[in-house]
Amino acid sequence: MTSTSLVPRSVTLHNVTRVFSPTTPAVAGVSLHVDPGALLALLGPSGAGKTTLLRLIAGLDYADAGRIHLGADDITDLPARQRGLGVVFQQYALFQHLNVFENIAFPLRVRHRPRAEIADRVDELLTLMQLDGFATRRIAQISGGQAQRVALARALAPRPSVLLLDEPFGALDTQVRHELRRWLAALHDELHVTTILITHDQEEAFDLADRVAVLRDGHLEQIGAPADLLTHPATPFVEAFLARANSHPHARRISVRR
Amino acid sequence: MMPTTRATTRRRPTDDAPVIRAALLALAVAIFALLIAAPAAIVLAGALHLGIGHYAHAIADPSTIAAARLTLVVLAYAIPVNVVFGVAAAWSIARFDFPGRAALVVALDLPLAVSPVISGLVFVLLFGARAPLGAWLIAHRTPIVFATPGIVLATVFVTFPFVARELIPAFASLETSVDEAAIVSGATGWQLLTRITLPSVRTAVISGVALAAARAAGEFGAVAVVSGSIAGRTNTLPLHIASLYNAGDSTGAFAVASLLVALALITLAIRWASER
Repeated sequence: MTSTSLVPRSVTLHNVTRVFSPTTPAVAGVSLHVDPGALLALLGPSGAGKTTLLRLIAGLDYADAGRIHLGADDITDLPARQRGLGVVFQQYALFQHLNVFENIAFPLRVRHRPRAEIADRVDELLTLMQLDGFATRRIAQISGGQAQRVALARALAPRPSVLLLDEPFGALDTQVRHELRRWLAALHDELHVTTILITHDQEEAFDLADRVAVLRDGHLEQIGAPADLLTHPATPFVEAFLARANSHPHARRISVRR
Repeated sequence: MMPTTRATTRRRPTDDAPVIRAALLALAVAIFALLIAAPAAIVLAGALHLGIGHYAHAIADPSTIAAARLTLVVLAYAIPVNVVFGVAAAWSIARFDFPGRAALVVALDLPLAVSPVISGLVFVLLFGARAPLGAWLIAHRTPIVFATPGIVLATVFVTFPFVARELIPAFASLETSVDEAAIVSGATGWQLLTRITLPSVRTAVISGVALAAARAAGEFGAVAVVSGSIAGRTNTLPLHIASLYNAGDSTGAFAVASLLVALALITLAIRWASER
């Protein structure tokens, strides 16, 4: 990982299943593909299996059946720390005893990168995340929106080929949510890192994603471009779920990027 | 209503009345002065009342130096053992569910519940000349009782709850997602422990070590039983203070006691610094 830009890779799931209780699998035979550099939104109500699916891809949990591929590599049995994915957790999971700089530097420190390289990379990310001047702040001294960007910077620091975001805006108020969403869209256009984003907010999914996967009770109901989902909903559930989005005041302004 | 009374009546609903506040504060200060500050001052006064020369003489006495050395040796063994045991026990209790977990939690309190004299006796019964294990060890020229190993063992026994008890709530309050963030960032198990987990509970570790060190340096009962109080050989500082006092040398006893007071102040200062 010495190249200056990250190399996006595809993510492919084949019949991935995870069962916690035999009667209701958390993830049931999900197959999907994300092109290199694309942004996929995992959309669905609470308990649909979105977070479980993301944890399986991250390697924080193991599938009971099915395979997960990163590009051409089968990573199904690879330990999480060797997958080299960037993950942003719902509550950011920042290291409270380290300052902003050291939080972002952490993935590089554990890889034993040279000191100068780490300093350059963290400075670059601080600028990218509009966090200049915050390097020495303690985590307790920054706002929720700043913490979210520190978490994103930490995930991006080792130039991951894939970025996983679990409800990245879930804990923020509406105003900050909207700002960060626009900013994340711009960032994704710039970096082109393959991104999988969890949300239960239809508007957010349609606004950001190239493709949207609708999950329900661990099953993949439909995956497709936002426009396709609206015009050709595959199941009554998808139609009903998206109809609620369309009744939303912002629905008329839904923009389908690309 | 007069404007001056307004400010006093306008306290927040959860605030205590000024008279209660003053009373509680006065009580705390009085108890501190009577039971803590006064004895400490008396120790210093007693140590110095025959002049600084006598004080220095008592401190420089070979048996005092030997006792201070033994106390430092005991600390050098007891503290690392405590930290390793405390981290392992607290981590197991806070993070795993295993058979006997509840029993281990109770067992942690045992040294605090049992009289230190009994803690010492246990080791005499186990390693004394009349016990098979003790006889065998003495035959192989490694006596435990009336020697340094016994003093170290007894000290470790009476101090082992301190680090573990401080760490259990600290470990329990750590979030799993933070560990997961470190792992997906590429950290190995060892890097997770040394760079994230232990630094996160640093204050609790220092606090536990300070308490354990204070108790280890000051332990009398358990150590008195196993050491045999051989002046210059198996006397720790507290035992040495007792022998000086019993021999009628109260100035010497106070002088040596001032060393322990100084050690206590150092551990308190370290604790205080770590919490800022």
